[in-house]
Amino acid sequence: MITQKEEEKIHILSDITLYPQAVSFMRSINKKLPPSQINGLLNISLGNNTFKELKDFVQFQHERSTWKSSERHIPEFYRRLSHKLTELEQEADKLAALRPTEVSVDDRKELKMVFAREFIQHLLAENDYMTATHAFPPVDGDSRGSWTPKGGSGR
Amino acid sequence: MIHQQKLYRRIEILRAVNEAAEKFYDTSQELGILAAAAFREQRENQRERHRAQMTGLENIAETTMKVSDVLDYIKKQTARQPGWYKKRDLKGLSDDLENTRAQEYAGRCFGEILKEYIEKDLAKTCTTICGSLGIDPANDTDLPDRQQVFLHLIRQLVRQLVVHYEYTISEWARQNASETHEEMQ
Repeated sequence: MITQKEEEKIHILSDITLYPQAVSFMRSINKKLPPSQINGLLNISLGNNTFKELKDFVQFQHERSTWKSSERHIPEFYRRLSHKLTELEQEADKLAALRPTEVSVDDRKELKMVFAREFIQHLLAENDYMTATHAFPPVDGDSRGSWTPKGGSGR
Repeated sequence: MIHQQKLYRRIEILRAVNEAAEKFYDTSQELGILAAAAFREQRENQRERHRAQMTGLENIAETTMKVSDVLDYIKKQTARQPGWYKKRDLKGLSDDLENTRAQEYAGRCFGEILKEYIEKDLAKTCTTICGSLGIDPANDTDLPDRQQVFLHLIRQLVRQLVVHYEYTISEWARQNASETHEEMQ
């Protein structure tokens, strides 16, 4: 079980670190994720899956060789997400180390998953928003114009 | 003693936020009118759904412990609901919007305007309040207080915005009913 203090720390980290990092992450990818990828990520991060299962899924998606040329940004997205998950794992371990008592394996796994869930939630919200506000550059063949959103990323 | 200090800090925060809320009342009024205008062109049977979205915004603001949850909610609504992402012509609204910032809103959707107001203007107000109360964002122990300041500001903004939205909607409905009555006579 995550303690109340840990939950409060995660809330703060989510606001001041994970949110702006997720916004920068999506803007650096600069191409929208299709609904199939969004649903896949949502299912695996929100369901009863473990952090290892999430990492394995992300790694698998990155290493797949069946992406079309127009989808090149997707394995790149997963490659970067894989690195990010490793960073989040380390953040979760740092938080766990602050407990005065030994942290169980399950609690450690839960902490990692909570960090991952927070980050993915922000990522997917930013993906949705950039799509709605036409902040992504148009895909070849897309006749819609694109515009650069005003202002910087996050807070 | 620590409990008393925490209580005193909480009161200070609420007082400062209430003062700030007085100052952004005009802006929240504009945002409420923009929200009403954003949904105005929707059909009657969709208006209850839009009202439900305003209620949804209120609920998330009042119950969440994270500013980013509110921002994510606004982003998702902007992606899913026409009233949030449709860029509306402000012609005809400028009589209501006396503030010259009305020109800034032209060509932008309600979701974008609200998100940016929270991320920029309200964030600045939060920083100012924290400065005046000695809440140091560089100090880890002060971060929960900073988050509380920001959350309270968002809650005040959303409450005011939703009230203005409801008021504007009912005023327009009354005007429409009155005009229809005159036409029939």
